[in-house]
Amino acid sequence: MAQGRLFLISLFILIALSHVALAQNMRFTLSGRVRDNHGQNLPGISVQLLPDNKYTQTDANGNFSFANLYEGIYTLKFSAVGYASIAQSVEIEGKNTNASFVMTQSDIGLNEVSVTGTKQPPDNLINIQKGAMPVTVIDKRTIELLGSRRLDEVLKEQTGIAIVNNIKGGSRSVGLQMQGFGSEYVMVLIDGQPMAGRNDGNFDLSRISVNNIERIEIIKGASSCLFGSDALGGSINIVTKHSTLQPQAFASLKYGSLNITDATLEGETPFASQRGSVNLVANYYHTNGFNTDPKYIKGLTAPPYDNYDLQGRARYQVAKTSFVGLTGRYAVRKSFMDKNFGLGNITEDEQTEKDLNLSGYFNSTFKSGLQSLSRYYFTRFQNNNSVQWQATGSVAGEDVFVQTFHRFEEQLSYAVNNAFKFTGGFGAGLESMQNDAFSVAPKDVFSTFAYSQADWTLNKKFGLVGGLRYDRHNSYGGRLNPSLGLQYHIKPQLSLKLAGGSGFKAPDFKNRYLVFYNPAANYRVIGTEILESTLQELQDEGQISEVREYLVKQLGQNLQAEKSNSLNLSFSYQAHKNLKLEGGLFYHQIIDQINAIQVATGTNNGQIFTYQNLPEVINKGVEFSFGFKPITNLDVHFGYQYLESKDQSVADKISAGTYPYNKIRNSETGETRDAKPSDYWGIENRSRHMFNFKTLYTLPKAGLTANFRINYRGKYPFADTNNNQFIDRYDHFVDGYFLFNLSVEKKIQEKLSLQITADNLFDYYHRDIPGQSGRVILAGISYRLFKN
Amino acid sequence: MKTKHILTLATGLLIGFTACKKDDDEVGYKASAVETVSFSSPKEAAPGPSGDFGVWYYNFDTKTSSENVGQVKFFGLYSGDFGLANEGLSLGYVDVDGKTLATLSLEDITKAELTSVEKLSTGTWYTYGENHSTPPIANRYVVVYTGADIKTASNIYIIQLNSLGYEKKESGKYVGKISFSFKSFKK
Repeated sequence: MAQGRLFLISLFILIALSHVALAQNMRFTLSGRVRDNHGQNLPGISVQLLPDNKYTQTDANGNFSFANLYEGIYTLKFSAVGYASIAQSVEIEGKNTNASFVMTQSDIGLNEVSVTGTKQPPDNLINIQKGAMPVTVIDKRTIELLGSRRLDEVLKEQTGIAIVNNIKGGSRSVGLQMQGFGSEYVMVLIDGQPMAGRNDGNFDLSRISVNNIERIEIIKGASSCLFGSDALGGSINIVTKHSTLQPQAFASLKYGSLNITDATLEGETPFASQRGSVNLVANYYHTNGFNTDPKYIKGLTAPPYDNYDLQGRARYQVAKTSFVGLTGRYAVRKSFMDKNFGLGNITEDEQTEKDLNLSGYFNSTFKSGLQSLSRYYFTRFQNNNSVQWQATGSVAGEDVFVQTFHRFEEQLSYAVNNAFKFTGGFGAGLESMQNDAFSVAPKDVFSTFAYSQADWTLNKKFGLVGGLRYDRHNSYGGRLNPSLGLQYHIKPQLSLKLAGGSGFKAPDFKNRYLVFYNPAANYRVIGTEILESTLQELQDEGQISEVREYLVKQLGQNLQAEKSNSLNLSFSYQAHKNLKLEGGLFYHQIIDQINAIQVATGTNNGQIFTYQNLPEVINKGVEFSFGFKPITNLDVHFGYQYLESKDQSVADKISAGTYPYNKIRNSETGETRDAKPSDYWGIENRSRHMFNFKTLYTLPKAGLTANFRINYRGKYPFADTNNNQFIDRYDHFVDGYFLFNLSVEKKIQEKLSLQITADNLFDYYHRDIPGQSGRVILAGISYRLFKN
Repeated sequence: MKTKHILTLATGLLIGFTACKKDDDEVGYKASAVETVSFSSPKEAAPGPSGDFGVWYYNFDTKTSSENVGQVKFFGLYSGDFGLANEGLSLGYVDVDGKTLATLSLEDITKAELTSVEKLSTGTWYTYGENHSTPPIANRYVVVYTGADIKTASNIYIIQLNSLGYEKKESGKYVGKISFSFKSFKK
């Protein structure tokens, strides 16, 4: 009995001891299932277990497991291409553990992103996205998905932006209009440096290839506070790609309709143990041009051209926290076009544009946290244009235009603490212009500037951004431009922003001194300061059939610098994790806007223009957009803009009964009646309604991405045809139109990519929209070579 | 006139560059004494998607930790991953046998093979062992230095992980526990 008792006690002790040993060494299994936010199992997801540093993948049903784990807390990390990586903590407490995990798709899409987390480039300390005025960002992936080749093709699909052809500048010039502001009021910058070369004030966006672009930042509204003169109505900053620390090469080729060929070669590599990096991109682009008016014009309305573009960037770390960098861009575009005016009158129109941008910078961070950037920028733009009559070989017109710009700038940035950051700077610029057509040699423009911007987070709910810039111009004196933005986070998902800014634009050489004749379009533009003397010369030569004397007397005086004030109230609301709404009201006032106005007619029926200051122009409207993800793989985006753009002086003249504003003629019946202020429709070329609709469908497992976009531009006035100097319902309008675009991309093993792009699927074109080609279908292939 | 303006711009450029030029004199380094720092992760992590130990920042010069500013940061599981929190610094590690942090010289560091890393985590400064333990890798010294080249760095900080682990609180949540020592070499 005693033996039996002893045996039981021994057994008990043995069992108890074994329990202690088991408790110390007991192992468990952690298993789980990964699904997407619609409950679909996700296979092939990479799963990392920490701190064990073990890896596995989910099976066909989204399941995974790790065996032989001790008790305690672990972290699981899940990652896969096309999905946002997640990390979750898991506790194992004395038993096998099973858990579920949800992954959502990466937020890639065709949305215009208005929030950021983007990296600040090394050659510009001004964070445009932190400015007072609202900023829209288009990232590289969006540009790739659009399948676009030139800058105008990217911008025309953004809410509130219309691509317009500057008729005065000839059909080569593709400009934009943004919230009612014409192309001449929108500054175009590359890495924060202004680009040169405007044809009659219009910057030709088709000059820019989008191959080397990291992102595009668009400020809608006055932004002279950041960039000085010219940024009166907004600015578009092109941020070029910065080198990575990995050697890689990229080649792509697109080919299709209109014989469009777009070939790119790119290479980048670090050197000197990654202290330095260099990046080079070469691009060739060709188009055969097109004709939007085949009924009346033989040949082409938009010219064929070849464009060669070479860009480079190098950066080197010279000391502990100091970098030196160089960027360069050289582009040449050559085009040739016949124009048949009937009866054997054919002109041959040849144009060569050369565009050079060079920039050097030195960036240094001090122990105190103060960051300093010194940079020098040089740009030169040359445009040679000649037109000759084919039959005789005689020259009908010749124009050589050269613009150079030197600019030095010192920028400083300092974060006092996390809540208060300051950026400031000063600099000077020297601008020169040469043109055969100038009857008076224009003098160089020397300008100096200083600016500061402060970004202050008052508390969790309020943020304030204030800016001030002073520009001094040797012809137009000084000008101070403030800006202020107040952001209010009502709750994490909902924020309001109220922003105001001012802008100015000094009249350029062309406004003042140019005498420009375009034989192809048969018009002449005369600068205001030489208007009377040039008209007199033309009259003496018998080239004038009619002069509007009252206008000549009124306009033959110095032009004033144009000024603007912008107000913007916007909201952003994340209504649901799959639905984001954004919108706002905008109000822009332009004072002393410079507009072309016809002052005479030539004996060859050509129109003769000069420039005038309009007292006040108001652009106001509403913008609204939403981004929606109805199912896992589908992104939908819709954007709408309503715009009213009116010249107050026209309304005043109609009210006052001033001739010829006091009459309105019905062009259909021929009846004339007294005009009322309500007859005034608005300024030419502005659509009241514009919208775009974009969908993006992705199949990550198949590497497929398809997007479909619809752009609508509402009807807009083209010209005053009943000669009362303002747009009314009886004038000539361009009807509203839709453009449908489709692009499909297939990625094979991350390196090879195939793309089909179909722009303007239903082949819409119109004689009054010379920049819009018919249907264009392109096939593309690209290959990226890099170390895994 | 144009020449004058170009000269003005060039002078401005020169002033800007000169203002930014930094002094890189080669002088000797002064070694500091070894400091030991222990901390608990700023947050208590609960199992689940919000399970987050938080980020802990530290400044070797001021020997202080603050909420969101520092030269380096501890983050991730148990707040036990280690990385840089500031631009202008570089991070790597060396393995030196037969020394302690106190006896480790700058020459020991520069003679050893420096492995540059973006961060240190499991496998690079601690391993995983029996009973879910996370012992530091023996004889491994983490090097943080100013600039891109240790040979020209003005400040060099050597860090050694003493212990890394966690503790379960009564609330059912977990808190990370970390101890490290460091010393600096400054010009």
